[in-house]
Amino acid sequence: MILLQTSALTMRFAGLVAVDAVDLAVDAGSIHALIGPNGAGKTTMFNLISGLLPPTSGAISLDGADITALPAYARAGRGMARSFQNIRIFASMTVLENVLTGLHASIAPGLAAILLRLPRFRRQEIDAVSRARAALDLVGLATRAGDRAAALAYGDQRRLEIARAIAGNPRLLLLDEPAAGMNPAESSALADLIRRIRDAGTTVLLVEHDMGFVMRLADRVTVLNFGRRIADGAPADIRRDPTVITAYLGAKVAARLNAA
Amino acid sequence: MLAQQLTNGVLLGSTYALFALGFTLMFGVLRVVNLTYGFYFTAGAFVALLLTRSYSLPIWAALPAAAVTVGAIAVVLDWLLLARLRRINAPELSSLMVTLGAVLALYAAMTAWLGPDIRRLPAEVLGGEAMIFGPLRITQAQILVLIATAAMVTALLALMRLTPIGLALRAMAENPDAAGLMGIDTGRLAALVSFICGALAGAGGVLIGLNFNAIQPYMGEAMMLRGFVVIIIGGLGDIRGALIAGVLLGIIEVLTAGYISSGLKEAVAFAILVAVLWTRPSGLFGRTQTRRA
Amino acid sequence: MPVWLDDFLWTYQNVVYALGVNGLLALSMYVVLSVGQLSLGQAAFMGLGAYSSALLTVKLHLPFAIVLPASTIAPLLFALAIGTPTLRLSGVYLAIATIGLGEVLRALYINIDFVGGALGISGIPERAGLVSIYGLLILALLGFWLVGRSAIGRAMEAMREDDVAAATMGVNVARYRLGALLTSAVLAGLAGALSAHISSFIGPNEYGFEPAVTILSYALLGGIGSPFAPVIGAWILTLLPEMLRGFADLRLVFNGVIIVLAVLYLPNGILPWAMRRRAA
Repeated sequence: MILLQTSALTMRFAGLVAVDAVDLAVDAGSIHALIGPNGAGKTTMFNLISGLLPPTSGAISLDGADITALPAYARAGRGMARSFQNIRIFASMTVLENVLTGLHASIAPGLAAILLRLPRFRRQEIDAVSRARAALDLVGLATRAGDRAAALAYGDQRRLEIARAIAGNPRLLLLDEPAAGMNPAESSALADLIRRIRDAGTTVLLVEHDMGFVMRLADRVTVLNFGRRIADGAPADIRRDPTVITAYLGAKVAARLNAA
Repeated sequence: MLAQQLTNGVLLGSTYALFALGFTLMFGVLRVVNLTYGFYFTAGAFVALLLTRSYSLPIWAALPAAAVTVGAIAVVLDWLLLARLRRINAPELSSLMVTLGAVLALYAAMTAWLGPDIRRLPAEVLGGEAMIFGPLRITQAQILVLIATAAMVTALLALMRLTPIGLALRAMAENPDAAGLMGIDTGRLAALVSFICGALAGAGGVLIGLNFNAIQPYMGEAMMLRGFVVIIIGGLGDIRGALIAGVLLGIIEVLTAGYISSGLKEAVAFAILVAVLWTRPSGLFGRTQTRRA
Repeated sequence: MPVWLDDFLWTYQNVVYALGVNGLLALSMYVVLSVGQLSLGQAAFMGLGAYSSALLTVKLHLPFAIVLPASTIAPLLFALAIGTPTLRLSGVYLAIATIGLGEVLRALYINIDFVGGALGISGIPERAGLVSIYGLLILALLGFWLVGRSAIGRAMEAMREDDVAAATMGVNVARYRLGALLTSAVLAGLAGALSAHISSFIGPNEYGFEPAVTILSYALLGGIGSPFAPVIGAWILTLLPEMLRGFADLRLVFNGVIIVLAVLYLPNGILPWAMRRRAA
């Protein structure tokens, strides 16, 4: 079953086609990787899928429903969550509050309930706190719940971003270079975490530069180059695909490899 | 009657255009809404007043002197208020707030020092008889306003199109992301842009002082409101848009005053601003993309 | 009421009332700043509330219980007209569009005879008092306190820090921004109606550029960490000129300098208490 689908998705900036008629199909329950050289249009794809940019043309559907015209907050309401390549946590808030904010779409607070402190409000808050703590537990930040987010180390901030994104049990999780800046031990722990998230029922689409990380983790890989989709398939097939090798290494090196 | 109104409107509007030009350039290049800009306008008028009254300078000499003086004031104010915010990369509303506080303090201090009364330029500065062109009556002050505005706008456009630094400024105004790529020292750039814009606003103050012959500390504040209308209609950071919208606003104001009521000038201008925000938020001539939150 | 309190109120009535009204104005600034926006229309909204309520009282002789809530209608309509298109854009637009509103309305008031022209409206009966002023102030503080300690409060702080990240969490940024601006207009309108009904006279020149910036200085002096901070900021800036009467001319210079110093050196105000939420 396909959870996320883009059809002929295109984004043109003044004079530049950042994403060019890309078809992408992400299977429900899979870990899907989006890879490509720098400037291939991966982050633009993410911004289009999460609703931060309106596409020039093409369509995006989630679980069969067309969401192309939905604003970002409404996509979150439909079970989409994401992290950012350059970490965007709420630095002045506590770690726990960051994660609670990630639950905003599923709390749906009513002003009357808040002002009158109705039982519904209390129930929602208690429920939200326990879900947020569970998410922090999963990423290993449970002990830091009361600290200011700005006080966390870089790797912990990345994990906080993931906790914030998964707190509401999204159907689709978009991770933009989650392993950036991590050492091998950290990125292997991250791979475990992502598998656990997938096993808990969340489909994962990730952009990543670390090829070893992608090949070990992903069920399926889509390769972009200059905004176009140049390959799509299982990791093992992608690794042998000559167009992919050329795109990454340049035509000369690829030819020499072939000759050897 | 209508021809006379239109002439007055174009003359008034050309001063608005001159004023808004510096403002939009400042926003375009430095990405700040600098509200001390209105004070530069007041300062220009007062420097010209001082030079023509106390030192009996002719207006053609007082105008450039006022422009240069105010340009220098603008560089100092920019350094005092905005250099720190640029260094810490503060949000854009911080610079708006800091210059807002500063401009209130400056106006209030000037009023406390010089009084709120309206002052006038010496009569000989304004020139003699008005000239008659068929049905049109144009004062010598108005002609000076037109010539000076045309000269300054031409000089600025030439600077922007023909010199390397001007081309860099224009590229940055049109594409803020290019700023970092140009490799220009931001401190020197801010000083340069502040000087140009301060000089433009200062000259605008002298010219409006000539046109209406009424100089008063808060005159820059009233002008600032018109500046906002012009840059919203023309598009934030859009140089060509500011020129067209400035002249347009001048004509609209004169026609409103002439055919409806002079008390409604501000309201009509503001209604146009709101209408543009509803229909064309990037300005009537805008191509700049608006950001989705 | 005990005699000493009565005496105190009689002597300092104007100051006591002004503290309450300015506290409401500071909150009307606070609510917009707390979603990361800047509106400079508070004085204009206040003027709209003052004028509409004074007209309802003087011309239609309506009871204050109707006049007070009705005073929020005109500010709400103006806030909707300006806020709806601008709040989708960068924060600069709302600030620019509201900064001129007070001066535009002043020109209108002066030129419309029905609202008293340059003379303003006089003979407004004194209908507001301690109960209405401080009752509303306490209600507003309580409301902000309760909202601040909820998911909405978290969403507001989140969008103040990073509106894009907040949107991807499901926060309807544009809706909260508009809600904040409308709340701000309501509070300022109420403050205007209250002030009109304690001073017996309102004039066209009281709601322009200077009061707009002064209201901002309240909120920036106190900070926006909690709703009490801007109110205390307003109280300090209301009491100071009372104590330093010799410097009346320099009051506005002082308010302006407060803003400059607060933005440059005290980004959290002088009272940087963050709101403690239940969960935190």
